Amino acid sequence: MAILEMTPDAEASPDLVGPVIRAGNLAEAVIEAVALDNPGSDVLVLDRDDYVRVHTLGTCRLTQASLQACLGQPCRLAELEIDMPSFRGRLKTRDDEYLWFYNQRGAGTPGDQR
Amino acid sequence: MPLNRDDWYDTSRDLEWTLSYVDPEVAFPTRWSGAQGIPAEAWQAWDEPFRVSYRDYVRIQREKEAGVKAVSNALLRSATYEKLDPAHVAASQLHMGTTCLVEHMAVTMQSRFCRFAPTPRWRNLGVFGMLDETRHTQLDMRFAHNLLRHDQRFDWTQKAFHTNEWGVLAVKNFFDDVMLNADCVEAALATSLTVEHGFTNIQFVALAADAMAAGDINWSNLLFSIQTDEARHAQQGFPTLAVLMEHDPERAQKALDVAFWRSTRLFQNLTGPAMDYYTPLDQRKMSFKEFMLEWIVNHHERVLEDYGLKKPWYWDDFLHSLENGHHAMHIGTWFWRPTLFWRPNAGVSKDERAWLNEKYPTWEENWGVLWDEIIRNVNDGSMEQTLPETLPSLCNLTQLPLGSAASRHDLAPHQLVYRGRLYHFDHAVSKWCFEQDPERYAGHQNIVDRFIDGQILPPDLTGGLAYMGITPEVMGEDVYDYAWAKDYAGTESD
Ligand SMILES: [Fe+2]
Ligand SMILES: [Fe+2]
Repeated sequence: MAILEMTPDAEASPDLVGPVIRAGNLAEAVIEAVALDNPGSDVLVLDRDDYVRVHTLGTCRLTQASLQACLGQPCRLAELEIDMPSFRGRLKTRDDEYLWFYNQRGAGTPGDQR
Repeated sequence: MPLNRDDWYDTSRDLEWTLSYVDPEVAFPTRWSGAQGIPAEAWQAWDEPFRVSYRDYVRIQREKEAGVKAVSNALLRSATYEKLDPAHVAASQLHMGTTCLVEHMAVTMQSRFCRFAPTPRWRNLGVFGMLDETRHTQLDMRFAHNLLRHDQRFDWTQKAFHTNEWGVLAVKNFFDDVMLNADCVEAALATSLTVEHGFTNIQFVALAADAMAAGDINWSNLLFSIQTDEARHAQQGFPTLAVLMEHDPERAQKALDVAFWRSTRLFQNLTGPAMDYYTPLDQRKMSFKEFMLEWIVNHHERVLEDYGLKKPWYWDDFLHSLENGHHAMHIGTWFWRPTLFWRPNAGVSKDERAWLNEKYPTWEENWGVLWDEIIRNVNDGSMEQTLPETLPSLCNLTQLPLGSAASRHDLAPHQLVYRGRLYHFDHAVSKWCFEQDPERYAGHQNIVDRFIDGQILPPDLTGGLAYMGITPEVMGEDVYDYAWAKDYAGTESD
């Protein structure tokens, strides 16, 4: 699956989950790592110059191994926090894996702005 | 080989002892824990999404601090501040004055989690939250202290909450309720979830992006760094919400609906004008409404719905207010500019107006005509017509001006009598919030109540300004000295 630029319509899609990272090297590495860790999903990227949304549909996995590989240097997942001012969806954090998810796919209608 | 955090985490977070000398209700009074009606075992299900160990915390916070300090030290030696647009500077002064001491109030709230939260897991995390909020207060103070030599309005970073300035009172009133006076469960719903998971993103991420575009690297960097803490400690709210959805979902829905409306109104005051009027036009990323749809509707509300909550019952009113409320707050604050400690930008030059009309199709009809009147008076030299002589009537819930929640076409009285006193509201939803817990709000006097009560002397604008602590050096004035009105000179007098 591909890394795609997020359209405004896609941004309103109710099932998106994943981190918001400050623009820079780390954000680039996170995009690639999320692509590696979620082989069945498109990675939707929204670049607002200062911050970057890195989202997938339903669940978004990020492993320490992939992040290190994409960053090209040792790095612990906990350090993600330094440049992560927000994230979308529920979160589960373990030493070697972060997982963003929803329990109910298709719940809510955030795109419905009436 | 050292253990990984996950190997010992479950043991350490359940560190608890069985009370034998005191009754649990004495050690953890429901008044502060907020656990009323929820069985003690229910909290065993409390499972934090964002795990933190003290060792990681210290290491990571140290790095965040080093990053903020490096940027701020580098900029101190350059002349970046002098190059900033004065209207943008007003946005940072508004932020510092209304936010710094809220960070300090949040220290107290987090320390209440540390002491009174109904599970040791939550009490553990409260420690990190408390340290976070101490850091935020100190970062704001440090930032403002460095800028005092440029403008003493930065003194209001610390001073504002020790005055009776009306906008500050509105902010303080809300956070007194949801931080200082709230039990742990309520604080989790109103502050951790609604404010920290929702609305602070609008100020600390979205407005930070505007600030970066405006060249204010120092402030943008500080806001961003603060929000990385907020994103983590806001997560204390979700396991609390999960427990409530099992045992008392109605309470959760109601508390969130009240907090969501009050936050909406507050951020229409804090962030709306800064984004749509103070940020220089060519540096605006998106409109306040667009940022609200991204962060509050698509990002924040969706997660709540995953827990089984419904959108607030007044959703249509919320969307209507989103088109209007901050425009009302903006024209109101600009008109009452002597009551501000920052210099507001009118932001209605012809180019800016075209942008507003593109972003808000009803802007011209709802707000343009009012600005036209102001513009005519400015260009005719009738400045006294553009300035207030009295104070506006205020809402007994939000403390914001009556009529400022929607447009001039929506004006209607919203009142009720409670225990013999007449209360006024800026919107039917504000009245509904009051009705959910009248004792909480009934005793408070807004500025106008105090005025009528004879507490503000002399009983005119001068007395009001003295009461609010507004001094000539900080008193708000149009930041561009009305230069924007020249756009219309000779053309608008139809
Ligand atoms: Fe904070
Ligand atoms: Fe906070």
